[in-house]
Amino acid sequence: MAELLDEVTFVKRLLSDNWSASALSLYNSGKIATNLPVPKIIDVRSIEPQEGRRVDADSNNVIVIFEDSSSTTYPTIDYAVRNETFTFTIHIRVLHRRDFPDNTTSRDRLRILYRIVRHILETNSLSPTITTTSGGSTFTDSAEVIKLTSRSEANDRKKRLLGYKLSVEMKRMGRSI
Amino acid sequence: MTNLISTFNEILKREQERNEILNEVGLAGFSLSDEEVFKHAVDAFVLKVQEKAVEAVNGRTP
Repeated sequence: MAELLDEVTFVKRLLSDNWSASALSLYNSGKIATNLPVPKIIDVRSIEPQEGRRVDADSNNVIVIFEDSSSTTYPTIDYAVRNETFTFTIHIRVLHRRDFPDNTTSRDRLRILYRIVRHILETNSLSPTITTTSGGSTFTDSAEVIKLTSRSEANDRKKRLLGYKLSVEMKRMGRSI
Repeated sequence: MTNLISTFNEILKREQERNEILNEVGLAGFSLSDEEVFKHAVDAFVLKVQEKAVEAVNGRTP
């Protein structure tokens, strides 16, 4: 099994690859009022200038992903197996524009984005898997567990941004060295 | 105490750099104000201290 993706990219792909299915599922079951398309999901380490300008012009919401920590343990006496725990911040940011029809549009959009992200994490919590096709070959990248551990409000009145900051934990266990 | 200050400064620097990257690549609309960056750094610092306290209670280090 080839591991092609770093962990932030893995989470980013997990969100983008599963977004449409989760949004449609929540919309069809009446849990969200609008089926929002995939927002721009940003890994600050890899965005390019042109990408940023396009986002500013087109979009009112982004999701920024950061890795906060990672730890490794070796549970066997011969150090032949590795367990890894990663924590991430997924920051959902919605720009409140003055031309929105009412004051609750941004808040409603933030809530919908949060529910979609939560749905993706919950439906992929055990053995999240990303499949990548490259050069005619298909590679699978996976973890054992991914879960949402906390949510906090992260608004910025000065910038007219509404946000939720989500903490997410991912574990890879029993990986041979 | 010196370690705590140094840890906080590292976290604050990390948060500032993340925010600056958004500004530099044209995502200024989605970057945070200085006050919010500081608040995020404080939150992250508190979590870090809590983790260290739990490790100390459990008698192990990562």
